[in-house]
Amino acid sequence: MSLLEVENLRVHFHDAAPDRYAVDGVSFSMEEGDILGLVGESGTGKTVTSMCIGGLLPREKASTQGSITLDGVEIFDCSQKALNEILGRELAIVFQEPMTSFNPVYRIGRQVGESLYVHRRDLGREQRKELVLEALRRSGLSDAEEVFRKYPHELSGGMLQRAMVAAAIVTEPKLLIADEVTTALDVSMQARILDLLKQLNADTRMAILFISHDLHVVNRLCRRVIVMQRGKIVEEGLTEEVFAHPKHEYTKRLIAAIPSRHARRAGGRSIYDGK
Amino acid sequence: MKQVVKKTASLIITLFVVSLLAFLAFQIIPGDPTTKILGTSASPQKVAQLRAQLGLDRPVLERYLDWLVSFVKGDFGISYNYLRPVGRLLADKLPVTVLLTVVSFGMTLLLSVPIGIFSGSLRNAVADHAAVVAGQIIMAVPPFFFGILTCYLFGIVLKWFQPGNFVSFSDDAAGCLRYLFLPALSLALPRIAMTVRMLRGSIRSELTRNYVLTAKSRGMTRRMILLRHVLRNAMLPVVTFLAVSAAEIMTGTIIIEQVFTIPGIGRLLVSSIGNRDFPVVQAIVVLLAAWIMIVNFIADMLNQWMDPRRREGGS
Amino acid sequence: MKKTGNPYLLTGGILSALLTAVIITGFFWTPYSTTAMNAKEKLQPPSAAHWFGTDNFGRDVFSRVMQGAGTSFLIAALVVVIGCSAGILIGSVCGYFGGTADLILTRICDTITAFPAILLALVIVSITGSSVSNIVLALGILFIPSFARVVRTQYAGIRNLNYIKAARLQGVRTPRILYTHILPNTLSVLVPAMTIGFNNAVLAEAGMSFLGIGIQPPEASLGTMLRDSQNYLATAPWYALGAGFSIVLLILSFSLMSEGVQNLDAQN
Repeated sequence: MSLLEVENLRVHFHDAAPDRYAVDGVSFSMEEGDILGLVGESGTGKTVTSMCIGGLLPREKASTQGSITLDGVEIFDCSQKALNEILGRELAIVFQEPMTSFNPVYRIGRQVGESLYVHRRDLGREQRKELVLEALRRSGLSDAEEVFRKYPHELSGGMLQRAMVAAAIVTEPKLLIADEVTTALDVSMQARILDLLKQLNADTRMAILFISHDLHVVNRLCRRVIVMQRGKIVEEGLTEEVFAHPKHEYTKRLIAAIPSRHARRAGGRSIYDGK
Repeated sequence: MKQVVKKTASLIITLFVVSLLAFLAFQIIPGDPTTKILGTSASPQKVAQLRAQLGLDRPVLERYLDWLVSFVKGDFGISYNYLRPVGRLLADKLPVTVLLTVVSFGMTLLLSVPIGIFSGSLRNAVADHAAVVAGQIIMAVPPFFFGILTCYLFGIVLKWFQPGNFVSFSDDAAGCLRYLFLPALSLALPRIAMTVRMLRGSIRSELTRNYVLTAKSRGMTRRMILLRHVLRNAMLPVVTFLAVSAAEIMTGTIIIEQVFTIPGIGRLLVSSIGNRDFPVVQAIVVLLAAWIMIVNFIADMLNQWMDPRRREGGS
Repeated sequence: MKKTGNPYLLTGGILSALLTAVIITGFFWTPYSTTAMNAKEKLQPPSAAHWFGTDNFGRDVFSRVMQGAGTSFLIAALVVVIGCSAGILIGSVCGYFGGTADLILTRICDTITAFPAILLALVIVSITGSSVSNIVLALGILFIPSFARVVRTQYAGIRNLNYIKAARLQGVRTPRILYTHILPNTLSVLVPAMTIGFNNAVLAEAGMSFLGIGIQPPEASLGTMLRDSQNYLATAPWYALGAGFSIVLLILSFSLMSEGVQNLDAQN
């Protein structure tokens, strides 16, 4: 049995046109320890897909069809209570904007330890703090004690995103959804976050669903990739192969749009090739 | 710490300026206070003598400094009307007004925060509209009219209490508080409605923030998110507003004391304005002003303490 | 959410229009004389002839409410006009140019708004004496900061937008930029500020008149009527209720309208 199984997922927002599906018949699956990339331009339904996996789409805004099972549990059949048991424990999500994803008035330590506060009430305050410090260290924040006491506005975006990752792994979830986690960061920080995720995956076999509009970033991290366009999957396969021999016109254009040498090295045609 | 010192200094300077303005304002009044005391037919010598006695023959700035020094010492001058020290007059009246303000502000605080949280978390559109309309109606009733209504309903129709029959705190503490309940409520109601409205809006807008989604993704219940994440952020603007409320309530006592014939400084102020008894008016105004500014200062400090972004350095 | 019109705006608008019509009528015509006393008819309960009953001098309360509301309305409107126009002037200059003058003026405005308007108005009127013009002037001046503040914030936000920069580069003169380019964009906050200001002015005037420091008899305002009526609360409650609920209705209609305008804004 797969860790995550998404089958024929369809999402329709109530305020959209009747035949316009934000996600339209998406199916894929992930095994334990997988790193799967989900790419596409903004607005193609990547984030909506990830929100569905977390059961975070408000029911009054959108209706969903299909099936999502996480570790054998059907997400769409879960009550809010059952969902809350899964969120932050089996499944953790890191979002794009580290600055706004933290609550500005509370210390980092408290927020990184939140999943423990919710799910591991059996642990004492001190034990929880120890776990938080360890997670911070594993996320590459070596002065964990210092970070623990800081407020969000006192840290840089890169450090905050690391702290976000720490908050996600503190409960050792089976699946981490990283939704555009590197988008708001500068290039060197991007690389460090990618290395961090790779390391965590290797250490703990935690599966990662990596969502990005940036094929280059996906290429660095993911073994497999899914390309989405307008709510539909247009191409999937091993990252290397997709890069080397893109079948779908859309994928070719995505690869061509990468304005760097990485794309050429991966075999795609860069828009600079003609010069 | 540096910010606290800076804020305190700025508070003191503003207090100075306000007291100077208040002092000067009462210097430009047409007419001589000696006329008020001695009448129009007094001999020039007597007038000069009184002027010297009241210190009116010296330069304005000197008199201001004198006045300020004695004001800080608790000597507020002599009432033209009662020819008694103003401090003595105030000492009789101030406790009642303070008590009324405290009771009313306490009501505002204790009722508006829970109701605001509740109405901010309402997800039912009908209930929400009902809350908005109810708030609008309550805000439209001036406190003194609400006071008159309660006097009529509870005093005259139901005869639960006798309007105008105030019992002093020292005679009967429970009776006094019972008498103050309705005036305090009259003052508090519109403030409660406004605070609830503000807190509701504040919670609504905080609920759309990214950190709320983050908290949801950690499996926190709505209730937990509201109390552990949203409330503190949502309260930031409300704290400032509560300070305004405290000032409004204290000022509101001036009118509500008339409605319920409560012998506080409000009644003293109104009668002193009528009698053009300026030392009394001046003292009350300066005290009220100082109080308002101190309340605002406290709110500002509280705000800073609640919002780490406004603190410096960290701990 | 379905957009089924805007009930607040509709109710508020209709109510305000009705009240305004009644008030304007009151300037020219009232069912009974507002001053002629009639000892035989004093303190009559409401009837077909006297909708709100009669007062202690046998005057028709409804007629006096019409006239009193007119006085209150006029005062509040003038206060808003003074406060708003001066507020726009100060706020626009502060917000657009910034600098030290802005800092100082903002600080002064903040300090003034910290004080309840009625307290300062009481002080001013007690010094200058109570007359309609003094009350209007005092309240008008005290209302300037609240307008100046909202206008300032808007101008400070808009001054750096590209279309304003473009207008500057094209050599459009500053007053023209200030009042034909930017001002219309502040309406969405200015209109609610005006209705709120109007209501606060009605409340402040009523409060002062109630204390006997505002409008002086024989001139009637809703506040003075409430003050008089309090003595007859036991024998003629309709007197107080008529005057009081008129204030409530006046304020409610305007705040509903303000709520409606704000909702309209949120929808767009």
